[in-house]
Amino acid sequence: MSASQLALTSPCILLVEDEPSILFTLTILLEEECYRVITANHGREALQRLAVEVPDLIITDYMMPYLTGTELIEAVRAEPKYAAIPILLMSAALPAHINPYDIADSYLQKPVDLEKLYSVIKELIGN
Amino acid sequence: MSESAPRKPLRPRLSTGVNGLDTVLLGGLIPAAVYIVQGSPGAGKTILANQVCFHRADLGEHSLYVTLLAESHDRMVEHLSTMSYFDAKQVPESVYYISAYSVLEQEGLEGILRLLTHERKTRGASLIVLDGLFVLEETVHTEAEFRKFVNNLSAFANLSGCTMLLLTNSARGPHSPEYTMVDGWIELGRQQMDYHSHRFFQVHKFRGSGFISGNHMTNISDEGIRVFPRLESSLGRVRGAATEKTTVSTGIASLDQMMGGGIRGGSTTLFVGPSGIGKTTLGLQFIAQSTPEEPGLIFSFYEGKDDLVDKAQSLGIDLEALIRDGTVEAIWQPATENTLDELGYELLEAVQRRGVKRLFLDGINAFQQSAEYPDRIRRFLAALTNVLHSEGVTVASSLVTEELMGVENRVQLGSISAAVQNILLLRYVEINSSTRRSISVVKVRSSAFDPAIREYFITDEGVVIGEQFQQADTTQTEHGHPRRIQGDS
Repeated sequence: MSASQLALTSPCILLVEDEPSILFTLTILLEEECYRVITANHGREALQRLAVEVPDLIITDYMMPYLTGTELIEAVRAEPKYAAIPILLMSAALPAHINPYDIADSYLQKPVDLEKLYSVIKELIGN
Repeated sequence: MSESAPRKPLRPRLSTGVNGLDTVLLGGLIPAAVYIVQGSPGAGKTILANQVCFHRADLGEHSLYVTLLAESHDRMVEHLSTMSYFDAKQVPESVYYISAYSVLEQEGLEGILRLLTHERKTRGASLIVLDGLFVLEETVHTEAEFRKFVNNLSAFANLSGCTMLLLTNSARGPHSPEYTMVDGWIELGRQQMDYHSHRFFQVHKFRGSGFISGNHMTNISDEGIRVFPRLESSLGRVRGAATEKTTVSTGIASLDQMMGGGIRGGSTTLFVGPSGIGKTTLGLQFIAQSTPEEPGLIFSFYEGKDDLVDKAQSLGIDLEALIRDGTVEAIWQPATENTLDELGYELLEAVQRRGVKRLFLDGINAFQQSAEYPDRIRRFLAALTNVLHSEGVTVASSLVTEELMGVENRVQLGSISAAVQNILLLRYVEINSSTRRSISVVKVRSSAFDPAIREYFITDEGVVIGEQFQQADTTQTEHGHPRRIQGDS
């Protein structure tokens, strides 16, 4: 399903990922699941997108330019109007001292299992 | 930054169902990765890709075959239906064919990716074949656009867990971006020799694993494509358990005596001599010692089964009965356009199938003639005899010298002798205007042997070895002149 065919009422996901091919492909995969996807190439851009539209879920990478995934999550959580947005952190690796579940609502290690990703998204948006 | 990346267990390899391919890839394809299969038209890309699809279907998985070519995939399926691996029952449930030609025309590369996303999900496909990657090269406006698409395919494979084969007949070189971005690059090719050509297969790149590099011969039959991993590379390191030091008989007691009591079990003995001298006779007597517990195999290039049965009968050997009760198997290979590895694998499969312990290889020259690259033969034979040794197979092999005359000077053993432990030389001897036969042992590894040059006779009870030549012994030279080989007259 292409972006234009998705109703504005479809659940909206802000996808933050600095790897263009993953960003593009994951967008198509999520649109196929009937989610509307807003994309950002890094944390700063994500904060700009948030100012325009508040999504139902944020999916963010960890290793990105300007802001790490942790810094982006801290910035989001610092703003009360974004407090209710569930956040899913996805990364191939995290610093040893970080427990992803302390900062995000859920965590998936890359490469992700697509079915697992879909089920976590449903769980988070459903909540 | 200290990163903690808990190691994920490696995904199990994906078997391809293409005989020999998984050996070259050291276990099969790595799943969720993208591979380019490159080759000119007729190289066998479609056959190979479909073979993988139907193999995965046999394992209960689903494949999606997407063609970007204008031609109908119905026609392709029609051609494939002659292949033994093709199973009509698997189409369309397990192997699903679609054309993406119009989608590409109307929606471009993004449309293709959306199509793959949708169809993968709908069909539950774990393998996608994209046939006609070169069409995309021709469609895109810039190289960057093409590169981006291949990169997206890679991300798609990784995210979706789907393995992708991209088939292309493009002759673009190794520095083209698509080869940099994909996980593997496999080439199917054809090499033109003097008068014939042979098919080969080569892995140029295989991310995340080692592989057997270099060219490997392939053939295409109605069973599909088969890869013959270069024998010396795939089996060259086989090291069998130390074989028990046994002595076995050549089948001729007096010859055993000449060779220090028999030949070592698991060794290779070469009978060298001109045509008609009696090499096959010696081989038949050797193979007649086979038993149901220690079965024999005749792998011959010059004489077929019926000829061998007749010849054996004239020596008092009932070869037909030995073949009938399964003690001996006779395989005849015409010494024409064989490929070296194909012969090698056929021989080894025949040995392993029946647990052969005695092998008579009649015409080892055929291996030399089949070597596309003669400098391979030494390593090839070393690997072959090494495997046979490790299987505990005692081998007798004939080597025909090219000319009837001049045996002594013309024997070219260079590439073969290193792979054999024992060598017997059979020669014509001219004495008093008559031609007689001589036999001598020139090499027996790890054993003393009788160095005498003896006369021998072929009788209706087989080879009878006589006395040592004492006087005026000569062999014929290439010019037909007598040449003294021992003693003075």
